[in-house]
Amino acid sequence: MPVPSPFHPRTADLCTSLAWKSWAGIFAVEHFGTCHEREYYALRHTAAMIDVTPLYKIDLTGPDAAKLLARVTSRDITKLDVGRCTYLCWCDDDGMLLDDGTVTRLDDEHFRLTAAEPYFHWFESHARGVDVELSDTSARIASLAVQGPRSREVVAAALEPEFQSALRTLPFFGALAARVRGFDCVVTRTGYTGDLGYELWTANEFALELWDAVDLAGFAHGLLPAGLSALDVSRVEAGFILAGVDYTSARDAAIPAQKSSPYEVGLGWTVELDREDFIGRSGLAKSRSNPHRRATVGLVLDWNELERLFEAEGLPPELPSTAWRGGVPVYSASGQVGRATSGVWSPTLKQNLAIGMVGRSHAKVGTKLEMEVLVEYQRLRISATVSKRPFFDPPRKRFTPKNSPSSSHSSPSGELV
Amino acid sequence: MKQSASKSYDAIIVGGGHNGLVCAAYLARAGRKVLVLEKRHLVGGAAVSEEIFPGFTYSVCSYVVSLLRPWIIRDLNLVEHGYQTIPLECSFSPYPDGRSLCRWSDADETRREISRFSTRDAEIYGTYGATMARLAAFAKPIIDSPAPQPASLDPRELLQLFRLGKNLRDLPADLLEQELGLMTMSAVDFLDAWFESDQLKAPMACSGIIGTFQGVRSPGTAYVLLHHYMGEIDGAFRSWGFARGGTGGVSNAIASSAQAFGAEIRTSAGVDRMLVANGKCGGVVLDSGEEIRARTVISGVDPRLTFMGLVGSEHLPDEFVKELTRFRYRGSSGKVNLALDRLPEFACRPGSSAHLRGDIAIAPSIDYLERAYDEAKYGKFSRRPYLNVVIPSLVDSTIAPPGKHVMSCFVQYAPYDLEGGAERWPEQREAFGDTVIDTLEEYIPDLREIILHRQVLTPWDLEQEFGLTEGNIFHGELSLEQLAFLRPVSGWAHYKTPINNLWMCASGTHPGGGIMGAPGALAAKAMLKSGAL
Amino acid sequence: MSAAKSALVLGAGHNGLAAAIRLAQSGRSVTVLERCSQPGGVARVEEFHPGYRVPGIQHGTLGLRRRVAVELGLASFGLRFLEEPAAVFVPQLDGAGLVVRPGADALPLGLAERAPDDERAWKDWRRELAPIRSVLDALIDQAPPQLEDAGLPTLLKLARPGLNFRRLGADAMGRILRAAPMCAEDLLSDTFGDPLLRAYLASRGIEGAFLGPRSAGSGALLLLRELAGGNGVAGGASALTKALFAAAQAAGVEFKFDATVDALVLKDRRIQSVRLRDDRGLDSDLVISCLGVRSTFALMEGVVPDRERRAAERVRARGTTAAIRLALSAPLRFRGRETETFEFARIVDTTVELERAFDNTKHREACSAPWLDVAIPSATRSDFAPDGHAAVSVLVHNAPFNLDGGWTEEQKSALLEAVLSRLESHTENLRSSLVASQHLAPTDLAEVYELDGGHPMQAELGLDQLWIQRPSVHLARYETGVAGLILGGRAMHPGGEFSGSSGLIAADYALSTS
Repeated sequence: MPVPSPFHPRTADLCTSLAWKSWAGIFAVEHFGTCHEREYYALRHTAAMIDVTPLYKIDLTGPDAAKLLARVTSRDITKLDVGRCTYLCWCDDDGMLLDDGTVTRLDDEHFRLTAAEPYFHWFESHARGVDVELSDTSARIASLAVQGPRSREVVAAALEPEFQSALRTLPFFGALAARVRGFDCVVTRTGYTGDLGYELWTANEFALELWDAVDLAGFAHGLLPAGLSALDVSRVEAGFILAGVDYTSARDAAIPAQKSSPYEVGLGWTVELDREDFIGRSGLAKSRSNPHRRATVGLVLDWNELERLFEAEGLPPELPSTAWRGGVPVYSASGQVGRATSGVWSPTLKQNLAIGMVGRSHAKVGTKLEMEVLVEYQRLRISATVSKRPFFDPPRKRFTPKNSPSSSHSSPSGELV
Repeated sequence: MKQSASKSYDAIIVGGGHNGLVCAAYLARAGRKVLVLEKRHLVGGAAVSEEIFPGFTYSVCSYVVSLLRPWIIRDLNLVEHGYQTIPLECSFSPYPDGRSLCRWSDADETRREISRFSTRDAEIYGTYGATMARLAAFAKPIIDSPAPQPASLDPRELLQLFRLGKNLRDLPADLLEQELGLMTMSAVDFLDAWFESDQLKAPMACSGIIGTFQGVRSPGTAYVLLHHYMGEIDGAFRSWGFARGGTGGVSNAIASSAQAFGAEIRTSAGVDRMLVANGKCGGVVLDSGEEIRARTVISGVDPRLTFMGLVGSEHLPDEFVKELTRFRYRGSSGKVNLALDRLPEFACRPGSSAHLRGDIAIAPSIDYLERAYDEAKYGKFSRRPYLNVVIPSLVDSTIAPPGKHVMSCFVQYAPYDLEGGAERWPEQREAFGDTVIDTLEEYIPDLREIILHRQVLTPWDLEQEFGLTEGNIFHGELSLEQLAFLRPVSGWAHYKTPINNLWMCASGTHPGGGIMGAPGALAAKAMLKSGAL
Repeated sequence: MSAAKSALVLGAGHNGLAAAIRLAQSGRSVTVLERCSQPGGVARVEEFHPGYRVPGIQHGTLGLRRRVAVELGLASFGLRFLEEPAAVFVPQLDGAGLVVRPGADALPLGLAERAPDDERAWKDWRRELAPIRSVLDALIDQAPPQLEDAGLPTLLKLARPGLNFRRLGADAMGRILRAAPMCAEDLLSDTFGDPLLRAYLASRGIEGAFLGPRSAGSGALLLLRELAGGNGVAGGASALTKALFAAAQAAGVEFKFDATVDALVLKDRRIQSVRLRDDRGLDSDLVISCLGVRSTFALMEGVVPDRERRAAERVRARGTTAAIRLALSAPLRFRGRETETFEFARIVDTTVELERAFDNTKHREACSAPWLDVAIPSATRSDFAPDGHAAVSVLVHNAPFNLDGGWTEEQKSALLEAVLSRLESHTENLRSSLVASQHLAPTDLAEVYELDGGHPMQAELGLDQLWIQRPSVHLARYETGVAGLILGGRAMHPGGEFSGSSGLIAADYALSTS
């Protein structure tokens, strides 16, 4: 039985569809209404608020906090400035990927790491001989994601006035210690939607107040609460991989072939090798210098071909409107070369997209492959072209205004695709 | 001496336990004329259901199933013959301090429960289960085939050995470490390398010692952890379950299948001795004096009963008898079956009964378990024993009247060799039963008030009534030196015996005890392959 | 100018000395770092009371392999093997007891009178075991094979002992394969009738292990000790130390005594240097640590290889030994044997008592009747006690490292009392001649001899910590995962009682891979 998140009194009221799922053992809404489209469009056109409390959180404090993170993760965290976040991964000592996540530097000696899976004891086990205190704050911090073109105005309006200007000029992957209605709230400009967006972190006891503050602030901007279905569509559009779906953690791998190096998963850019020794370094160095066995790619699927296949059966094309996850084979002329593990029909791009892993020699952008589809119970194939990731990458995602205009709803929020 | 009228059989199987029945079914399926002779009034051996108290069906000895080989279930069409299992939903452990731990098939819920004792353990628990599953997959082929023979010069045997060695070598590094550890460590030491909380390790360690005369700290018990981890029902790896109608349901299904293939089964037909002359076995003589002849005789009882009881050591080579005397039994367990007026309530987790629909372990700490073992070494039954309790009536409506329940308690340790001799067991029986109830009352305060009937089985009773030498439920200790090619005796681990036409097919042979059916099936296959039948 | 490559050895115990000699023989410029002011490690000679000495906590040298003595040239430094193992007296309260020569084929004296059937049984047993010796010899004197990613050469290497084993014949193989996992209790009750002989042999299966006679694996250890031991050397452990030290000096090894290691400095998974407590740093690309495994890893500074570190943390080293030294003003005389001089005695009673004592140990309780190893080094070394006096070393075997409530003064006194009571029931003049005593609980042993868990072998012996698993699958090949940092102490194969073997094999391994 999952347990409720701190936001449950609000989300339960609103989830009239009763479509819940369990995310890390916590009740999470799939979609509030009868379908998720409305929530998705809010996410892409105005703003959406999503309960992301089920993320695991570790707080690290002390003089050697940065040193420990540098020792265990892929990045030299000692170089991270206060008020900045960074996306990274961590590996086992063979250099095989365990998980990906985000680290925020809240203060000189205070860091917070978030991840999709629990790794508290993994980090703690490496803390011998370093002056750092680790705290598993997963069950103590509530977290709300506010994402979409209007999210800047919404979040600014929810904060106490003295923080609004700082919020408006908060850079991509920046962090701000702010206050909402009298309580502390950390705001990071991070998210899983590939759009302009923020995540708000506060202690559980203030969760409901935070929700109400954001809800109120968002009213004028068309903010809607959104569930995981909408989130999943947006994350596939953004080309983001999902642990456990698009790659298997080395911890969960049943056979060696299921393990991946970060380079195979498209996370090579998060690996800083040329620095002091850290966990996994020599394995990573080997992976970097050797030809990779595989690579993670984005695939754009040929819509017309799919349409024709359905037509041949006398059917209109049917695609689920939510994102799918699983595994279907991907082929080249010579045979199977990999698999696709996540996919979605992108309402924004009007394209049929997938994310998968293929042999490296087939991973160049523009390569023409084929993906298996099931049409009226027949296993058929359609063209899948390797494309760059992210698929959807609007300028507003990274754009930050130079100074903060006084009125809130006329600021440029970036054009739509 | 009465002679059996005209009928002659290809094979007589002495003992209608589940292995004997499986063997009979496979032989009958291959067209042989088979007769099963069972001493008791019903088949099943230690896998029986009996209505000892009106209205309540006890799984008298064995109480859960899982290891029955899926290929046997398919080959013998057991489902058609009534084999049905209901999975155990959870594993519940109450502790004296009022806390309790319940592990469910829901991983998140389980993680939450474990976190109450240790967050570190909660984080790694899933990986442990996955690792054991991988190791079990590696060990499965060993169970499903005849034991490899290292001394053999037969190229096929050598190939099998080589393959085993290669499999071992090909194991990824982390699994290799676990595998070697499993074969040599104690259950506690193995678990210590994974987990830190005593309350989690204690109930987990128990599966390493069930049915053995070993403690959880005894080297060699980690291996048995895996044995019990290999359970498989309905394709869901590692699940254990109840058989509908009690464990006897399993035996009845196998018997029905054997009969459908043409085997004959006679109950209340105890065998007094086997007819052995000139190194050959030609048949058996029943307690009644009736003589029945057959081309082959197969023993479905344990090695000591077979060779010392039914054959006679004078017919056997000295070396064989010497080795056989060294094959150890040392029964260590007893059973208490209760008919209850209503569902018992555990003080530490009152209310809903969801946590009672699986197995319940009274194993509050490793020290507790080890002390229970220590007492038994010196001829005493544990004053505070390890108990594995199930209440199958919660999920099987056929075994108790509505609202009433059957509670089945497996008890360890109860040493066969009691101080003063095993014959003292009958006079200790009630005290033994009282100890079990006293222990349970520490967790279920009003238990005594709701007991309608109590059946107590000591190792002595298991020997006298069910033919289990020294009350050992596995037909011989499952220790490393008595397994595989050493079971029951080195050189005689392939179901053959020094007597021509006499074979063995029960748990005293590879792969050992537990309701697996594998010994019976592998023995039948060996006989058919050898052309003996 | 090319200077000889350097090498550092941590610890000047027998393993450290052996490793140092081997490294020096191969041309390296070797420095040994030793915390104390003299060599010897657990066997270093200590004056526990003015005028009374014992060779640390090492009673015998039965484990010294010929290979070690020969390859290190120890004969030229005065080392001499004895013709047969020194006699060990196993007394009995109401009987004559036994006199055994550990590991020898010779019939224990007194056995024929006590149990005539056992005389035949003994001879049969020794005869059946004899062929195994060659298989064991091959395994003990070499590094364990690499099991993971083993190529054909390794498989063949593994196959050889396997083939030797098969050559023993089906019966013998079956017998051995059956005996190996058995517990000593069962193995011995299958073979012998005399309870005292059984108890003595059972004790050989549990020494240095966290086992009782009924624990699986005690049978294997018993067989190992019965077959793999040698005769020991004249002068005992201190003579061995002396010869090794002399050989090391002759080979040009440099010694730094009173040098405590503070850290092993790593850089990019390589050993860079060793830092001493006085902040001196010594650079080297090859360091052989003969300290405990856990201690070695605890000294590492920098990013420690994860898999090996976790393996080191899981190495089990639960000490169960305490040491008690007695200074007596008269020779120690055993009842009924007053005219005989024994250098060694083992006090055991029955296997049941051994099992009960282990129960206490398991549950972290004090034991009222622990079994004892008694050595009287002054019996053969006149410089170990004043004339006519005796220095006695007692190893007490049921003293758990993590005793419930800790090793308080009270507990230590109780232990001393238990030992004296037990001893005096077998001796004539113990208390009346007692001048002084020293007691070292396992916690003290941990400190004094730097033993992980206070365990004299730095890692428990047991089926799961032997050979390819000693002290762990990931550490069994002397590697730490840090290039140039090798483990060569007692925790490594073949183990502490094979004096110097671990160090020698580790050094060979280090040289072959550097």
